[in-house]
Amino acid sequence: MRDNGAVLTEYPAIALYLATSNPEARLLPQGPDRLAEALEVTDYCVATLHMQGFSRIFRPANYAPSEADHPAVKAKGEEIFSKGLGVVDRALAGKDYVAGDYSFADSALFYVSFWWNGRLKKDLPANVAAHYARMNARPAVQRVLRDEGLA
Amino acid sequence: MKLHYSPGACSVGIHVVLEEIGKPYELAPVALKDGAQHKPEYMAINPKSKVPALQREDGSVLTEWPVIATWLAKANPQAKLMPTDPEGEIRCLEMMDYVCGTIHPQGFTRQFRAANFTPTEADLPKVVEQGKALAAKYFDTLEKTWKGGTWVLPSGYSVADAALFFVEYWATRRSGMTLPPKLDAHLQAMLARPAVQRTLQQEGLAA
Ligand SMILES: N[C@@H](CCC(=O)N[C@@H](CS)C(=O)NCC(=O)O)C(=O)O
Repeated sequence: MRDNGAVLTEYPAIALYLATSNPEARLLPQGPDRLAEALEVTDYCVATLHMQGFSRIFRPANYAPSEADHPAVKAKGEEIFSKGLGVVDRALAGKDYVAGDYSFADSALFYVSFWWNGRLKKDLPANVAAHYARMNARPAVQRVLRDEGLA
Repeated sequence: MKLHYSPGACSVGIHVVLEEIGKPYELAPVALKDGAQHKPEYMAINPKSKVPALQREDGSVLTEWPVIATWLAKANPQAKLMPTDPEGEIRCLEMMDYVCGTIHPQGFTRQFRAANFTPTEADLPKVVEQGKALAAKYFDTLEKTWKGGTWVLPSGYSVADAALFFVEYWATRRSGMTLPPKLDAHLQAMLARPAVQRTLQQEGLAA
């Protein structure tokens, strides 16, 4: 819900809106190519790692009607999630942040990393792990974790 | 520029966008039925094993439907395929994300690839039905919240229409669903566009 009362939905659209409407925060990569890079990782984290991977792990009943199948659905979710982390890991090679400089895309990678490592207690691949450590060191991230009672 | 696509897959929407822009591009089919998306040759292009993927002039590859569409619209401003004011731009992305992140994977993947949802064969029809019910619910939400005229955004035709088109096309041509009136009118308006007609013809699909 924005200050004008209008509601915006869809994670990537909200993230892009916040970055665009607060230029002083420097969360918006400059130029169409860098912007595409940031949106690409955001979409992949949200539409694939989260909605295809994590959803199978946490809500297997939304996938398979028979309870006996839920372990198989969860296993498939873990496979999708970990393959996806591998794709992001290779794309991150040699970079501190997703689009070079810090941008709105880093918080998308952060939340899926948090789920995988913080909640599911699984290892992140090296570049994603380094990114996750960099994110956890940011005061904004620390405030969020504290406010949401996750720290 | 080269579009990696599969006939009738969601890539058909990006194909429409390329036809709307009208600049030369190549089409490279990926035989999803034969699992070509998992072969090393394709994974070297797109390690995510999905279509669409757009190989650009500099050789770099772009993935994710809404991102490819956004980049194409911004790189070709003369085609006027995306609003340029911040509010319009964000509503355009919101619509593309709803189609590509929810309607497609939750509604239609359930119907077309039910085996990705459940390993139990006897449950497949249930999963397909669930997919149909979800798709109908999502279309209903769009019908009730429709703010556009002929096109889905009030500002006029955009890449968001190409996104909505591919799920409407699936609903009517593959799932045997009936669309609510505004969405059906939208589908008819899309089918009347020369760019859409050329796309369907090139992919060997019925209009
Ligand atoms: N998140 C991707 C998803 C694209 C997608 O699901 N494509 C389907 C075709 S409609 C695909 O390539 N499926 C092949 C497979 O899953 O093996 C996007 O928005 O581009």
